[in-house]
Amino acid sequence: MSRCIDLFIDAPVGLGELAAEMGELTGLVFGLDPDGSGYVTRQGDVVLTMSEHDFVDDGQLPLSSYRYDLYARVSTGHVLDSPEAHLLRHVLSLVNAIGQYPALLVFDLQHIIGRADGGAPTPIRA
Amino acid sequence: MAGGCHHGRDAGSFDESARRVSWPELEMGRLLASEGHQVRAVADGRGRGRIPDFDVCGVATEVKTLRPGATSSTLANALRRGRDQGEIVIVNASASGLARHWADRGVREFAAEQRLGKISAVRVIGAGFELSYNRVDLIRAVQPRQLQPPHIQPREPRGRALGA
Repeated sequence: MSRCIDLFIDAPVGLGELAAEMGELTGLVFGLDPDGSGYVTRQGDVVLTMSEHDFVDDGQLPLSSYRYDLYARVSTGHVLDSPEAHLLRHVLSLVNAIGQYPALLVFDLQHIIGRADGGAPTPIRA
Repeated sequence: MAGGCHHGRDAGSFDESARRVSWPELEMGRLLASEGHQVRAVADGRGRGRIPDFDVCGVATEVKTLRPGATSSTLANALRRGRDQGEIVIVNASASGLARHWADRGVREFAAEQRLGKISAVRVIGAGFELSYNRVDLIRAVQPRQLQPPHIQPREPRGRALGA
């Protein structure tokens, strides 16, 4: 019963461009996923996969409002204390800091951990 | 399990030598073993792409557990997540409060998109009910005139092949 953490991001750019922007923002190196469905990056044991998603809205989770999903599978330990959660919280904080894109951090596709409003548009590439 | 795995009253097994499992996984692993299956926890998949939680009699099996407050959309989203992880996806909704008809609706919502991925069977374990669907069931779910009810069975699945 693997757990998961997802950072949903809405951006009016293509997946490749967003991967490049996230790489520049976070210092992570995104490469094409071998199965061709998205981009993947690794930091230590943590693996993040970014792709478009087709999850539907669920109660208080307006998932369809976000085009992209940056996803980590958490196989062991407490999901909220996992390295995956720490990394995605950090990415969320950076996304929030630039204020360019709205984002929603969710665990187990059921509960919100944090969000970024994306209300203050500041280009990543100054 | 789906795929013709029948065990009758044969004793199953549960092997977590490759990865120590969590309590919820242990619960599910024991359930499957009690049905006669040979269950093996698959090693941590970090860096190895989309892998399942268990190997059950040679079949990649992913387990999703729904938390309290789950809806049909929660279940459908869990299946979307699991469709590339296992040939069989088992959704443990027993502690979620999800009623049987909402569980069935969630499976049908997922099936209606006809993006089944590698899924050959879905099993939903709820509080007092269990639903199972094979791939044909899932495909038929979007053909109203040929619609067939899911295999609804009591909560004692011992020795029964999913979707058989």
